[in-house]
Amino acid sequence: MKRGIIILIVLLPVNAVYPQEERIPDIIMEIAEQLSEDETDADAAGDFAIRLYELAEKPVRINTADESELSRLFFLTDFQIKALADYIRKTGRIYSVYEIAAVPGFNTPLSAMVAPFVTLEEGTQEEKKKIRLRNDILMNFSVKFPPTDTSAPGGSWKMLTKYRFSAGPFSGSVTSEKDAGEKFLQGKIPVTDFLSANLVWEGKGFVRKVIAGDFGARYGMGTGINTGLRTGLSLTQPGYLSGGDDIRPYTSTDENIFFRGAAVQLRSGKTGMTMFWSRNLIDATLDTAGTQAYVYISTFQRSGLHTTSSSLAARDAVAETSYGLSLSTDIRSLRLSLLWTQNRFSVPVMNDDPAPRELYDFTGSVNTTFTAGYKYMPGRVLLYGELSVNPTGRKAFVQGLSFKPSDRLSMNLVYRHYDPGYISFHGKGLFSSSSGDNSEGIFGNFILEAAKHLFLSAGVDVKVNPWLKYRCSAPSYGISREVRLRYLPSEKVSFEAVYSYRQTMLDQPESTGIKKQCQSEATSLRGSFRYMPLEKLTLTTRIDHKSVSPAGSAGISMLQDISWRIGAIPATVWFRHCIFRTGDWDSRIYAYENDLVHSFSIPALWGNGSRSCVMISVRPSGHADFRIKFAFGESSVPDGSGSSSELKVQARIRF
Amino acid sequence: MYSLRLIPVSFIFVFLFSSARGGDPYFPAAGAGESGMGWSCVMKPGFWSSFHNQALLPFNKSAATGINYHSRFGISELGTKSAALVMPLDKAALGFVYSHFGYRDLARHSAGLACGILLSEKISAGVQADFFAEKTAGEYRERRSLSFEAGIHIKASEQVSLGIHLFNPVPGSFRKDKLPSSVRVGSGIRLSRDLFASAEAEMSTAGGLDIRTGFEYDPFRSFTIRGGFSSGGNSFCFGMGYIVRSVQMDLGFSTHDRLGVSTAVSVIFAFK
Repeated sequence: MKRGIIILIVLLPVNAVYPQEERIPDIIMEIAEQLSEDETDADAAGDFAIRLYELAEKPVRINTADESELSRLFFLTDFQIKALADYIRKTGRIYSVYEIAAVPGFNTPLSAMVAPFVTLEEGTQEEKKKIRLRNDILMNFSVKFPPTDTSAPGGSWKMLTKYRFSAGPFSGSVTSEKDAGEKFLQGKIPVTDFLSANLVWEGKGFVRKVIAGDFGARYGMGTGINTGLRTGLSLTQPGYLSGGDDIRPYTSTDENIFFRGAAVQLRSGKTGMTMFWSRNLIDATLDTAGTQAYVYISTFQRSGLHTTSSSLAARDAVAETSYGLSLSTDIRSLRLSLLWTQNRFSVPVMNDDPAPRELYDFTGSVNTTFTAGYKYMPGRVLLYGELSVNPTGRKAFVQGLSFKPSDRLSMNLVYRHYDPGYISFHGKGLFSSSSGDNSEGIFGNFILEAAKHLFLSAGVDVKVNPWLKYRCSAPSYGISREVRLRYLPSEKVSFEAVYSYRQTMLDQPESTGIKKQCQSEATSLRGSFRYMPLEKLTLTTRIDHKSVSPAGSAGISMLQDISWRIGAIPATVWFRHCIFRTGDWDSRIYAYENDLVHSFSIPALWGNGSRSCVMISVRPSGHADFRIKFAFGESSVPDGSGSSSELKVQARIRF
Repeated sequence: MYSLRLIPVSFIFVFLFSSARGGDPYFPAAGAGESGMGWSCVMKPGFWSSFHNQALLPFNKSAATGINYHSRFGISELGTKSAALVMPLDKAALGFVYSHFGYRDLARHSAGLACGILLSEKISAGVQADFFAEKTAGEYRERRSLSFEAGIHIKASEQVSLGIHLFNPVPGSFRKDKLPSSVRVGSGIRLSRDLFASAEAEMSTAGGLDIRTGFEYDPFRSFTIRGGFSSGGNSFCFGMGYIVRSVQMDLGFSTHDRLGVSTAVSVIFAFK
């Protein structure tokens, strides 16, 4: 009997794999909408989505994973990773993903968040020894009606192709993308506008990982190097404060952030070392100083879109050579790490007529960054910090504290300081601004299991910008607050209410001469209700309200999601109908929309109108799945550009 | 003569779109019982509510027909006359509804053919094809539109039920004359054998968000008292109903904070 129960518990997650996959969009939504609010880093949502999908495809084997493997769950804190590793070490193994909720530092919502990205299977010895070639091909095609830019040189459709293989310790991938408006094939060797490839070898001995081709990297808190997500994004979510070191094959489509070369990760005992070298062509606008003799970079282009003559001229205009070395060592509960990195540009950066805001902007062709960090975890407290310095003396400093006074309460406190003019071309530090410099602030939050099934979290971030910034011609400050209440009476029902407030300082639009500043405030309220009347049917209703000042406008939206997994055929249908009414662009509302795998959609809803979408996913076998999505909307907006529709098609084959 | 009359009436007509019931102007305004509950009926089975959410159609166990008159603010030009027929089948039901709003110079005719089906013990779904014809004095052509609406009903437990209804989830660019679109979600609970309470939210492109709540109480076997509130126009509603054999008669009143009181009366005859 007991044996039967254990078998049943072990089998449950396997049977629940498909529904857990369907949870991924919800998890993406929880963070992606916040990322979209920060307009300067909207692409981060895409990177976040891609990383989650990759994680779901290669889930962490938690029962055999060490802390390093567990840290692939990048949205967990170091605290949670250590607690999970300790729990498995003590109990032997986890029998059900629901058991994760009992691990100190976890709760029901967090265990549900982790579930799609872990597996309880351990893998047999034969499986581990057997080298089997696995291939995965993904093709996305999308087109918008009417086309947004009819003067672009290429077709208005967008295409993404990804190929990935793995065979024992070897793996590799090729990513190809053509954005809307770009020519399909170009160059002497006709290829798409963006083409990326890499080859990876992973071992368990002295050499842990070798990557040749395109790769991304991250060290510590990211002030020195972090080509992925900026950490510390959410005020009230449980994770996103992790500070793991990692080099990883690059599979995203941001065309200017990654490294192209080789990276090696070594480890001996408790000491690790990483080396990398990269030479990548990046987009930049070049200018000349009077004569053609002296060419310099006036602006770096980050959009990756090549549809105009100026963007085509900027394409791959500069060679960036980067290299670096990192060392880390563990001494009991203490980890120390050092990083040295340098960037060299083939053309120097110059600003011959700097506006006051650009006074501290980088000039020259070489930048060096030294970084030193630590992490110390005695018991229920985690202390971490990092200091990065440029040769000019400009520095970035982060100091954080996480602690768990009880199993039902966890708290975080982070102080950061980024000097104006601190430069790290591949860094995204904890709570840094989009430019990576010119901010100082303190952040605090707590996550409390207030009662059975009731979870309360709240966070505050207060920051100052000691120098001028985009759209603000004076030193400024800002405050963000958020409170999130979640009630989960059962696995089938959940309620959530979120209140958030953001205050920033901006130039008054009508001011002339020396610009005056005003406080810009946005207050949002969101309520959502999710219900699963059947295992195959999920209904979600959501209402958003947002008010902004000094514009004095407000926006409101209501949406209904229906997700139905058809029993008779291996297909799932998602449907959404959303009605919205906002006073202006400032009071727009973001609503994450379920999308193709490895893709995301967060339309900004504004004006008075509706948006609907329907998506069908068919999985005829474990080797193939297909998705088709049609979204359409209309809105009465002042410029009259209110009606649009979009068709997306995806095919995925595994063999 | 009537051109002068048209101005204030048209003004109120337009004003109605965003406030009389808070939602879309293509709402059938059908059912005095529903009116008495503040139109909080997307989840509550009933003859007229079956045309507010077609998923409620299969709960009609016998064939029935009904007529309804809804007088907005006592202005005859703003009256709506409706007639409907419901025919139950095995686990499904068919419905037909016709409605006329307005007067000679400003009129809308709407007709709908609906079908609802029980998908399981807990869930039912329904869909209705709609035809609208609008005529305004001064305009040469009659505006005609086709659309559809659909809903689902879920019996979450013996006491609790949910209803979801979407109206016109179709891109406006597909048609010449745009129609509003709406989403409506509500939940009801049977607190005792005699008492039912409900709450719902609706948002329409023709108006803002409208929150409604209502109750229905049966103090006697054949007599019902209803009350409700709708945030669109801060409308308080009340009503009553009486059943004599196969005939059900309902009366409903709803207030508006600026425009006064609307009255609805309906009669349903069941072919038992």
